[in-house]
Amino acid sequence: MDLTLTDEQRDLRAVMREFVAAQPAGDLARQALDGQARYDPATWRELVRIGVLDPVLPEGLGGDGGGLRELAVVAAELGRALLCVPFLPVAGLAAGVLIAAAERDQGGPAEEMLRRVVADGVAVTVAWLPRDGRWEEPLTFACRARRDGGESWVVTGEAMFVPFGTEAELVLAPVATPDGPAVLAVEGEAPGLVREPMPTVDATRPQARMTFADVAATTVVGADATAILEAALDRAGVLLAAEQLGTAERAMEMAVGYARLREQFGRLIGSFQAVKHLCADMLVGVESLRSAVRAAAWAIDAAAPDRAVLASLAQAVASQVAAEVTDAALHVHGGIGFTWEHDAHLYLRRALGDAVLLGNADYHRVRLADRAGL
Amino acid sequence: MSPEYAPETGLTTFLDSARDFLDSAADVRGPVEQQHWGEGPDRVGLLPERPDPAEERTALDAAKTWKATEFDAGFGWLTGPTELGGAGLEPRFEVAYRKLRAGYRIPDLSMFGIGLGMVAPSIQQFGTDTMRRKYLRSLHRGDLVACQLFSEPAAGSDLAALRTRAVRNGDVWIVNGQKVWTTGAHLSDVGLLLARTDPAAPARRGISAFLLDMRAPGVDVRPLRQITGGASFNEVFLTDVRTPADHLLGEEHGGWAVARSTLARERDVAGNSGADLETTVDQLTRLVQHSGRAQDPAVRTRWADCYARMLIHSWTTARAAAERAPGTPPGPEMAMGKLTWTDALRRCSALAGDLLGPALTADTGDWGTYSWSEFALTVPGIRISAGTDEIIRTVLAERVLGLPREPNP
Repeated sequence: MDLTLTDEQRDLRAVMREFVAAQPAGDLARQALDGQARYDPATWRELVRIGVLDPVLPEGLGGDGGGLRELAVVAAELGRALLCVPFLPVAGLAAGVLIAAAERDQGGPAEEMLRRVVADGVAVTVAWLPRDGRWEEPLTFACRARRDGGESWVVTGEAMFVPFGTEAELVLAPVATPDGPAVLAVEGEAPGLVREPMPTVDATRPQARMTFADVAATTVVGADATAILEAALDRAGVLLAAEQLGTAERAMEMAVGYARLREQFGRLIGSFQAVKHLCADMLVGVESLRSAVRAAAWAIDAAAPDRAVLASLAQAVASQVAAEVTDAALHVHGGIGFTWEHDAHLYLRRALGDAVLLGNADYHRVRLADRAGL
Repeated sequence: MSPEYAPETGLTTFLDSARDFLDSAADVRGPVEQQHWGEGPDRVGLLPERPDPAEERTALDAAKTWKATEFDAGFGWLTGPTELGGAGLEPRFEVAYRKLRAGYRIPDLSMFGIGLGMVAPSIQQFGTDTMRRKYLRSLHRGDLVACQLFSEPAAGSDLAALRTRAVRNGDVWIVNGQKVWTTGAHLSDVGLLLARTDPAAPARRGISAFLLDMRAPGVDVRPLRQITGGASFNEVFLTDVRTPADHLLGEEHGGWAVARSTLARERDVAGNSGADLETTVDQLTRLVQHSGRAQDPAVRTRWADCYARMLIHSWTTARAAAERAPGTPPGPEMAMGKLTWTDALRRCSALAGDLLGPALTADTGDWGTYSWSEFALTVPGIRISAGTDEIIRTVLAERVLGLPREPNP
């Protein structure tokens, strides 16, 4: 297991930082919060153009030999910058389903769709959670479906919390069918599909409510989709953990930077032990999460036997650490950290949402225990 | 998806010969699952407690015999320079060898931890060629056991306040003073000593480092009893102890540099207790399974937290070691390992205590229960040793995050 970045991964990180720094019109996260700008498809297309999706395709399907570790480097940089782009649903959830399906079914609709997504940067999301927003084991789904001749289906149900739901061009729906779980594809503009944005705490992470009223769909995975969906959740979970790592890391940097500038009682606040120790705890949290993300990404890329355990571990740690670190970072800023105008709460908002997006910390801990065989 | 890494030829050949040696010299350790609940000793300790002196002597002799065998077969000092008796290999060979060796039953080698982890590297970094040639091979072969003579009653966290005095007299230094918390002093042949050599200078600039013969006249070692009832460490009284001038390590009055380097290594050793933590979590796992509460989600989440922290501790210390440029000594980032370690220990202790209830603190006679009380009593000591958790946090904040020091009063 290699937990250090390769030179190529460092280069990738540098490219991502340059991209973020070159984003026009200043602070996009703040603009999103102020309601001025949300998802800009051009930003996403540009990211795809510089190659962020290249590591998605496995080598066996013509990919560049990169993998989840490279995607995790990208994810961390996106998390640092709080960019409003559908990287997680596309490269995590959707690609996760499509890769597992293409590998199992040796070609077929999943492989073709995966190539299309990677080549064109199609914004695709996955409509999974029902209204109660609970991740369950065994998996449950918001939608159900029945066959409508050949590879055509009809989907019914109400999904909530769909990331980039209104912005997506294509929707993958895990569904319950009379023959067990399947995964279907629905065009974003399909008749019978109603998509409404949900007001969110984090404007950089749009979520939608989707109502499927007998919506036409095509096969992605026709039957026995459980293992594929589990694998997809693990991939997405590790990328989400990587985003949380970036968010926490940046928040910590801001807090440390503030502690080195702000004076009270005639000295820098960073010279007081209480503040120092808060910062040290943030550092330990960030570095612990970094280890967990790298180990899980490595294990998935290497198809290691314990990859499911490590995927749950990374998410359990991320759900806790990101929330704690962004909270501590705001705290170090004191009163000014509590103002609307200060950026501290942007990181807190992101972390609060991320902590529960694919399951909360305890959910992942229980799954870790299950998968470790306790 | 195929694994990314093909095994590297040099390492594979090395591990083959290592396996041959280990197979010839030790028994394979069975998988932990095979050790049955209720069999064998149920001790969950963290520190050597110093049982019967004869037992301790026997254990030390067994450890020394093993170390000598391992060294003579070429596996005792893998990363050391060949001209000094080492094998001249890169750190990853050491890592791989230790991992392999963990699968075999060998004597407890913890009494060599300080000598090999702190004293020998300091001699290597700061000693003269003569000193290196005189001591390094012996330390790595296990012929010599070493201790660290740093802390004093008035100089714990504030080590620079130390008062033990060394005065030059011809071609010897004469040492007077008192050291405390000296782990393993009663078994040691040599000690790494910090003493004040220039009382007029500011505290950190008046200290020198020496190697001291623990068998020299004037060295008086007395055990210190700890809250668990045992005695892992000692007081050491030094009365007119003579050490040769060439046993100075580093520059005269330049001992603080030796101290800092040694302390960083101490955190490396303390934090590198990944194997110990694995054993603890193993024991905790079996306790959970035998508690009848293994299906309780509250217990499962807490167990998962301990398990995760155990792995994270190993990964984070491995990363810090791997990211260090080859040949450079451990820096302040190594201190993080101490925190991840003690945090994990606390949580394991808390979960074990909650599972056991009153059986933690009163002996029912049942296997694997009251033995956790020693663990629970030891954890507070671990948090204090090798730099208190608070000192470690301050080190991380100042030297890794760049936060300003507190002003001097």
